Amino acid sequence: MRWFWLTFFIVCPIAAVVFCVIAPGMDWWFPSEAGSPLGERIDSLFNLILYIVTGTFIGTQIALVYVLWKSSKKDDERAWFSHGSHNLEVIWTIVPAGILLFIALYQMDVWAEYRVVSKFPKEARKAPVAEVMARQFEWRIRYPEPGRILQIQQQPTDLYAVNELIVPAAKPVMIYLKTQDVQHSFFLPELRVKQDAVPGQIIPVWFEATEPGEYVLVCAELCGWGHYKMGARVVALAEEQFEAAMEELAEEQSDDGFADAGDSDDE
Amino acid sequence: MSIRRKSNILFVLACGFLLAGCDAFSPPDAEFVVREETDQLTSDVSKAVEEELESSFGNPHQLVAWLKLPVDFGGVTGATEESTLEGPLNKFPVKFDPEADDKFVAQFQADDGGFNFGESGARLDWMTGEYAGKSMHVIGYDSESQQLTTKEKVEVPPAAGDTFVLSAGETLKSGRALYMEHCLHCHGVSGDGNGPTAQYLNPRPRDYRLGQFKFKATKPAEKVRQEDLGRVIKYGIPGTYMPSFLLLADEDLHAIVEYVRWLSMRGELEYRVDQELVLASGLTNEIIAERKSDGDEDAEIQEEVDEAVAYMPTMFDELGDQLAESWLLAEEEESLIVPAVARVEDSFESRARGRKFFLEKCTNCHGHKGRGNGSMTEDFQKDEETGELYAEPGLFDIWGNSIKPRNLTKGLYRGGRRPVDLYHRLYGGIGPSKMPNFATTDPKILWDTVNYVLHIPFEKPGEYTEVDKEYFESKKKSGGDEDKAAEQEATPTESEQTATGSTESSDQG
Repeated sequence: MRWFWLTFFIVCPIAAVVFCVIAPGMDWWFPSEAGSPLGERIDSLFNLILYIVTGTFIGTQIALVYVLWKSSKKDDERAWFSHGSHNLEVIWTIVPAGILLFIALYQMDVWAEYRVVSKFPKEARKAPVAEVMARQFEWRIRYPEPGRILQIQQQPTDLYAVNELIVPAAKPVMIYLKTQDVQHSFFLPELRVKQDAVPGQIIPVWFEATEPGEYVLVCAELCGWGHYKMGARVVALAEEQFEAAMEELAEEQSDDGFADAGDSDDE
Repeated sequence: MSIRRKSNILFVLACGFLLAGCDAFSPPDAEFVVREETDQLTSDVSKAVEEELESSFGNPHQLVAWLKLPVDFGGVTGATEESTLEGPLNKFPVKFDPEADDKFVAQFQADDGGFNFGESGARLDWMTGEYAGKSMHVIGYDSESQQLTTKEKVEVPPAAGDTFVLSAGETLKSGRALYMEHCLHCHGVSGDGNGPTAQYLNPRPRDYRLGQFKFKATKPAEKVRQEDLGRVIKYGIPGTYMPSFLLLADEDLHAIVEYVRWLSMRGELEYRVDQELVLASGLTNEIIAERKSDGDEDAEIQEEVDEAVAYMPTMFDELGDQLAESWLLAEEEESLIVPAVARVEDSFESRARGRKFFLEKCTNCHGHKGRGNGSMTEDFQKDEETGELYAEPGLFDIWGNSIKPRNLTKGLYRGGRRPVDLYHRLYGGIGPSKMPNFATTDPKILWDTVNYVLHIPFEKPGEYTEVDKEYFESKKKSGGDEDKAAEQEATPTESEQTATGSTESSDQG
């Protein structure tokens, strides 16, 4: 029986480490490479913590297995009664505390850049690209008219869209996140962005999409029966294409149905 | 030992209780809802109605494509080519319609380049020619000779140009699956707006079964277009629980729109059949009981009932034709509301004219300041169908829900916020909500009103005081004392002037 348990407690940790190592190659890992510079730094922080923890894990498992193996031998040796070792206790308090302190300090600048408004990239802070209003169960977007700055109050010239957020790629952009009813969460998994939308608050969120493309936007805070289908898309476009898209949106929104009478009065 | 046995029994019992709650093994069957009025009909007649509905539309598990209806049921269409073969044969040279070619390949081509039609073959329905109305089963296709092979052999080959549909119903079936996934829980299995979620929602989800929809670009008397329904599904309705389904693929959106139209046609057919049988023929249990107690002969009544039952298929056919006509008409160019002039430029003068029109026509419901608190919201209104007053004051829509006129100060436009959308609302009105249409008004005035309405959320206090004064002065000169009362009610007081429609940043359009 003891051989069974011994093997079991050796195989499990080894299997865990092996799976962790091969996971990225087998696509059992993050949804994709981080699509934003800050996302890459978050990923590398994650990996650093993973390595530290893995090292600790392997060390403690080896110790555990050794103890199990040693103490299950049948012999007449008297057990050693340790009366507690003050030094040992100090060591294994200080070392983990030191590691944790290191982690806490090492990640501070990433946290600050991500969450502290005064550390947001200046160009993003000056000209927010849209106000994203989360609502059961969709995302309502309000853009300023091309050439104007987004205001907190609605303006007669604002442009509106739903479930599709268009942003310029390769530069930091900021949105104002609001919610119309309950808590939602603005989650861009590929860009490593997540921010809860809290009723009554206007929360600035910034991110940068390195490459143009379509990114998934999902809600990450249970908000009701439709939470699971509250998906939308963020479309990052190169600068000229972004401006063209905004012009198109402005045109659509001032459609008076007369200019193209004869063909569809839709888009 | 006995304790061990008891705990085993308890364990087994616990598992039993846990599993007993599992309904997953046999979900309830979905059924189409039967209208109240159909239930009220005498049993022979109501049974006949339900049977006819079942044969023309089927049930949610087994749909029936009634080809009379202008719904894209889907499937691969094509026609036969000239055939040189004779005698009993089961191979026909065919040519698929251009759009259908890709569909055919996508649906039936197997990975190895051959074609797979399933165990029992794909159903082929002949539309015209010798075998019109009959169906066969396709079991093979030769892409070189472009010949279909069917299970059934026929003596006489179909003539060249005979049309067929292969695997009809694909679009409808796909629409059904998507509807069940996305729409059912609010709009209900039958599209009656009474799904499990509906009871928690205000405004209620749309009941399709009267064939009327609020937000359309067609003239007042016409039905809604596929495009209008598509817009609603794609962009949602802000201010209600209808979300936007922007991420749906185009084919999926099309399939859902077709299924919704199909449900609407089914519902409206049942509604009109009921109207005929209840109002025209009076064949409800209640009326028949009355007649019997008045002394009418049983035999006479039974004759009428039998007549109605025999006439049922014809009635369905006639009503089906009418429905098909009205839905097809909605797609025609002549039904679309196209503004006769381009939008009048947005300026204070234009908005002032719009304000005057608003005071003339709109304040009864929308209120003097557009807050949706006009006098009609506090009066008892008459129900046009029954001729009696509603039980509560205020406005009601055709589905019997209590509704409020839009508060225009919020900047939430349910049918869309483009100028053309607002023009459609004004020109076409909103039939189901009893918002009148202004189809005969000068289009320039309509544009002025659109400009005014779009500006209401951004109005400054006292902006239109002079305009209002002008309006009421001119009314006094031409009108009489009845306008004095309106003026006194409408002239803004001090407190009102400082508290006009505010731009609330928490609302989105």
